[in-house]
Amino acid sequence: MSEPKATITLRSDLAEIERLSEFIAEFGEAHGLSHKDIFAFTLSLEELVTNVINYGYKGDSELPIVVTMSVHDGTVCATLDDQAPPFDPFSRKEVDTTLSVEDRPIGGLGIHLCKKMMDTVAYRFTEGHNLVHLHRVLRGPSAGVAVPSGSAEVPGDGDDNDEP
Amino acid sequence: MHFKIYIPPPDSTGCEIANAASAVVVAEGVLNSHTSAEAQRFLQKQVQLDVTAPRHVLIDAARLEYLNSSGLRVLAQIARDLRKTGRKLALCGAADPLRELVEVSGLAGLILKYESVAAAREALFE
Repeated sequence: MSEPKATITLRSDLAEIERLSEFIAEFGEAHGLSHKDIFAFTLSLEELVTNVINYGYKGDSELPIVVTMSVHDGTVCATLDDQAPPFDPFSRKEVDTTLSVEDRPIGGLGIHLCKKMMDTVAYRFTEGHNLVHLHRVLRGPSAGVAVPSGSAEVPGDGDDNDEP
Repeated sequence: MHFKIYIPPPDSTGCEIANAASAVVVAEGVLNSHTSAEAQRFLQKQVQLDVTAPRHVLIDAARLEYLNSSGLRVLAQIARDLRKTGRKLALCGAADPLRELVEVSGLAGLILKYESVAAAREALFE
């Protein structure tokens, strides 16, 4: 594989979140990602890794969390690999945005934001590993405020979609 | 992890801070799961202090670098508390990604967004 790729292995410890965000910022700067793109990945990966540490590994595991980022044809892919019991973070019901802001429960917000920030999200469990894939088509600094609602297909990049 | 939340000194923004109808709070740095408890304590105090003379809370977010779901939850909770006495919470001068985040979170009805503290004042107290 010649595509630019970087990997970080994290311990099951919330203090590792800071290393994760530094890793994403460094990857982003090295590959010319906009501030918006770096923010989208930082937010999404922090949310997912925090959930793995708190609910998957329940805080005290010796097992690692491996995050890989790559960029190809204007799309950034991130993969999160952990060995906690099988859990699909995207299986939870969508936040009900028809409820009034007064009535809407605030829980589940992190995963909702992750789905909104990414163009596609996917999950599969294979050989004892939870694998979460995130794809986002890069937005330039002038790409405006449009964040696609719902999960859209990744345009022009059909070679790397790991559909479950 | 850098995070600061405070009441700005009167001469720092060039505008009148001791406004009868709004309280300005400056939030700087990273508002995430590590710092949201501090933000909550501080903002909750503002909500309670102001009970006798209710004021809107305007957060000067020009130097807020990061905000995640944990920070958003705190802002939404404070906004709900403020609503009980007819007050509003506004995020002022936040960077584009943070404004978009509020938008996609579905909480934009609770957490108002303005270009600046001055713009918020103009919109809220016209």
